[in-house]
Amino acid sequence: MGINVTKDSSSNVVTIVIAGRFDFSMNSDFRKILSDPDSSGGSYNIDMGGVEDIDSSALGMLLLLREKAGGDSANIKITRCRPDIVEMLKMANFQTMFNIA
Amino acid sequence: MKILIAEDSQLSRSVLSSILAQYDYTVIEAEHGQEAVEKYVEYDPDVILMDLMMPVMNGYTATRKIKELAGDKFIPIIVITSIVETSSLTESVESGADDYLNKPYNAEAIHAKIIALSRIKTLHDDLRESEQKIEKLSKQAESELLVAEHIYDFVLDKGHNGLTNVRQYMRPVTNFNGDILLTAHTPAGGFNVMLGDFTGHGLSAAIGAIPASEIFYQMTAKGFSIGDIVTEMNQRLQKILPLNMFCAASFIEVDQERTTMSVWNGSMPDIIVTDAEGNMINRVASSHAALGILTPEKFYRKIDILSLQGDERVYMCSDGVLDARNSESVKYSLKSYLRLFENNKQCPVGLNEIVDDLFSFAENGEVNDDISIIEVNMDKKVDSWHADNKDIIGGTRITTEWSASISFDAESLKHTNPVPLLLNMVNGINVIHGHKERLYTVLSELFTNSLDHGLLHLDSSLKSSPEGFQEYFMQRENRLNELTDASISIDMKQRCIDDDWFISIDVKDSGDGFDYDKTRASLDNNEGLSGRGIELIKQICHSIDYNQAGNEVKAMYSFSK
Repeated sequence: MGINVTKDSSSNVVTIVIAGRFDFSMNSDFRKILSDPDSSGGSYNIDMGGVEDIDSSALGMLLLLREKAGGDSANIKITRCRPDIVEMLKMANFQTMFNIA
Repeated sequence: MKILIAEDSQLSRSVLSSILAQYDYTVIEAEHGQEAVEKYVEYDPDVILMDLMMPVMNGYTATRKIKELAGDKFIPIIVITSIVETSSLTESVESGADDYLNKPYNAEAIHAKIIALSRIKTLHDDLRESEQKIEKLSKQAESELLVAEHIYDFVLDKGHNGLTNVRQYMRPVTNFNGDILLTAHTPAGGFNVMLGDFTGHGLSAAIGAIPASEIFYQMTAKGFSIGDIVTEMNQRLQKILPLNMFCAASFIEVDQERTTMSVWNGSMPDIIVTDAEGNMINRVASSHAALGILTPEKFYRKIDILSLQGDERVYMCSDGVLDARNSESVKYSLKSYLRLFENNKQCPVGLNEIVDDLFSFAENGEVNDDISIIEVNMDKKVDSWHADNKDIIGGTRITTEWSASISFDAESLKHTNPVPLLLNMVNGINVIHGHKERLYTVLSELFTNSLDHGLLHLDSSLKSSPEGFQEYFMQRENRLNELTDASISIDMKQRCIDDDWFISIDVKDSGDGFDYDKTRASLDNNEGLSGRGIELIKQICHSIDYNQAGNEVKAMYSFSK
């Protein structure tokens, strides 16, 4: 449950592992990551393999991360989503803003 | 730290005082219960040592009174007893005492009890402080919610006096909704519907609802298409809302004749179109990001256009519907929603059946989000709009003769729709209530014919099939993008002839002209681009004439007709 951040300094890739319900309850943890210079990198991998559900505030958090990572030039991969989560991300047209693998 | 000693024996008081003085406590003395109460009020001590048997007022009564005075503030009271007498101990605790000390006094024991109790007091004080802070915040939140509710009611109220052919079920999670429904007639007698779902509830949702509703009502009244409305709304919301806030929204625009429906779905569940029996014949899934996310350069206004028969119903819902859970925490989901519209069911589904099905599923489960379900009936008979409302026409006042000429080159044709602008100009010079709709129809029909057929050479027979429909609009977009060296000029003149006021509208394009009769025939067959056609214009206008080449049309509109 919750959010875990690791950074590979040689490749400058930040991996954010999220599990459980990705909703407003993760807001403050997520914002901490956004403001922490140690979890800043050239590209991001968001591992959502353990995410059971997302809501619109989760989408908002992803947008905040995207802005931090450079907006339109951001390099963010969202990986291992369950099919129903992919469906929700696609409904929000997030496949045009994120790399959903 | 201040310690109050209530003790009638002079000897006992001085023994206690000297013990406490060793630990640097400030000592306040009282000779009986009454004096203890008075000194408590006067000095606000941190801990009280209380003898039980005293003249004037005993220790039980004094303890009770002090605890009463303290209210929800914690004042530790330690009772002093000479013998361990269980009954007096119980009684003193019932009076409110927190601990007890046995005589004879032991300095270490007294000090330890005072430290322990003042620690509890600190905890209690901290807790009380945060409780007060929380209470203050929750009151503040409550009053903000009231403000938001007021704003929302005001905004939504304007929607309610809207359309008789739109039915709604809206159930908020908090005491009001983060979902908004906006509905309004267009000047030409069609209508626009928007169902929006803002991130969050309360004030944060209301902030976006105000500009969204203003844009919706103002632009709809001026005759702008939903493509223009979503573009404007996205731009405004993107500017004012924080990055992580947005508005998922679905829009439909339907023309007065119910021949076409334009749809824009940004992050909302599928919009369902059913036939009169409730069987699904079309659905439009989300193909856009929610409003307020993308910058104007990235925003994609593309709309889907569907053809209608005029007996369909359209269902729109917010994602709270799909997210509702049953007792096993299983979501209702799009699958259950779509199953309602399947062909092989016993009785036709409608708004009530959808709501019933959803809540029988989610019974004993949880509903975490606002739930909105909208049913739009395409049957013209249930729509209250009338073009010939005589009461409204009574509001017309025309007193001046004027004329205006305006022309558009290829570039401006790509970027502007002049019809709302022209209508605003006419409306600005005159008071033309009741004529606005018909003038809009005439202007938009003549302009569209010149552009689509005169300049873009589009074939209206394409529109006789649903696939052709899409093809028609794709060709239109492509050819318009490639258009160069072309223009459309519009001349308008308002004149008084034999006490009757007329406005002549002359539309000329730079094309080679088109076969007016052929186009007319095909327009008659399928009611034209926006479902009106030349026949309708003929009925509305006093006269309509094409020139020989077919690239200029002149319509006379009478204000007294």
